[in-house]
Amino acid sequence: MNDTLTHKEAFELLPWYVNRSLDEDERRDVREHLSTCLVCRREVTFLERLDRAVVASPDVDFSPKRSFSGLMEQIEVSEGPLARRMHASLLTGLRSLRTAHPLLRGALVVQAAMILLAAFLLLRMPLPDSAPSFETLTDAPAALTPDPASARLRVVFVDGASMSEVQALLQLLDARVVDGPSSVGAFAIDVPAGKGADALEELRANGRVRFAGPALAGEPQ
Amino acid sequence: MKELLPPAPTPAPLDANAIEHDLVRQIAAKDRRAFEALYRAYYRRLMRFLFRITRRADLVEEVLNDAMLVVWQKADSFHGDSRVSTWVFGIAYRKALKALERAGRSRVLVGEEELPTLAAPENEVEEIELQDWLSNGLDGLSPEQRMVVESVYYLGLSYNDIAEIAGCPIGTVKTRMFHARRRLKVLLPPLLVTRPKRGNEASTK
Repeated sequence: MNDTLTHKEAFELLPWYVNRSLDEDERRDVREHLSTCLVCRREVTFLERLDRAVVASPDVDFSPKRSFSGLMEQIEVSEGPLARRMHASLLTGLRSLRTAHPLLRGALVVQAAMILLAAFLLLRMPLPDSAPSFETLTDAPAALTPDPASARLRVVFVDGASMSEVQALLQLLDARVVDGPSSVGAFAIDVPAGKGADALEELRANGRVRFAGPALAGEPQ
Repeated sequence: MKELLPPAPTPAPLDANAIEHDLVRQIAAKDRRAFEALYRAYYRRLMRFLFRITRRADLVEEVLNDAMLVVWQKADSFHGDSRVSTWVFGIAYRKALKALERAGRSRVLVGEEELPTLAAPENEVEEIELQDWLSNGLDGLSPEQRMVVESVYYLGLSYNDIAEIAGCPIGTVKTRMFHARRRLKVLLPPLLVTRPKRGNEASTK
C-alpha cells in the first residue's frame, strides 16, 4: 500500500477515479492503492455500473423554444411598465394559491386583493397633463385598429438595414407595415393570421432585425 | 542546405468557455440573441440536472427559467472568476433547493414514468429494470446527494467543480458522495450482480 493515500482517502476518491477527473498524481495514487485493495476494486466495479446506469438514463425532453419564449415574456413583463408588472404579480399570486398550504392561502388572498386594490387606485388616479410620455420596444402602437384576419407584430431593424432588405423580408413573410417608425424606431407590421409565430421566428433569426415581438399592451390581435 | 520553414500557424482550438464568456458579456449588454444562444446551449443539461436534483417534473421548467432569469439580470456581475458552466449550474442548484424548500422536499407530484422522455438508448429488459432500480435509488437520496451523483456521472465534474457549484467545502462533497454510494448500494442490488468487466481501469469517459 502506498504511503500517501489511506484506504479511506482512496475509497472516497473512487467516483472521480471512475469519471476520470482526478489529476495525474491522485490518479496514480489511487491506481497504486487499487493494486493491493480488493474492497476498492469491487467498489470500482460497482461505481462503473452506476456510472453506466446514470449516463444511460433517459433525458427529460421539453421544448427549449417554448420555454425560452415563456422566459422572454417574463422578462418583458418584469422590465415593462408598472401595470404589466402588477398583472404578472397577480398571476404569480394566483398560481401560488393553487399549490399553497391551506394556512398560507388566506395570506395569499389578502396579497392578491391588495394588488387589485393598488391597480384600481392607479387606474383612477388622474394623470398630469404634462406627464412625459415614453415608450418601450414592446409597447404597441396606440391608435391602431388591427385587422382581425392578421397578427400584429413589432419590429425594429438594425441601423444599417436598407429599404430593399426590409421590403424583401416583409415580402417573404407576406407582411405589411401598418404603422411606424415610432420614437424608438419600431414598426408595427401585420402578418396573416396563424403565421405570427413563424414570422416572429423568421424575424428574430434575421441579421437585419434588432428586435421582434408581438404587439402587446392589451391590444387585440 | 535546405532552409527550414517556420511551422505553419495552427488555428487556436475553440474554447467553449471563452465562447460562453463572450456570450455572457453580450448578455450583460442585454443582447437577446446571445441570451437565447446560451439558453439553448444549457437547456437540455440544466433540465436533466434539475430533474435529477428535484425529482419534480412540475418544478424543473420553472426553476430553469428562474435560474436563467438570474443569468440575464446578473450577467454584468460575472467577471470570469469561474467557468461559465460552474456559474450557471451553481445558480440553478441554488434555485432548485429553494424551490424544493417552498414546495416541500418530500412531495413528488409527478413520477419519472410520467415525464416526456427521449427514447431509451437500449430497450433490453435488463436495462429497463436497472433504470427502475436507479430511479428508486435516487428517490432515496437527498437533493444534495443526488446533485453530487449527477454531477459526477452525467456531467463528469471534478470534486473541486462540484464544491464550487454547491458552494460547500470539498470534504462535504466527498461525504455526500460517500453516503449516496452506501445508500445506492443497498437500494440497487442489480448493480452488484457480476457482469463482464470493461477492463482493469475505469474507461467510462
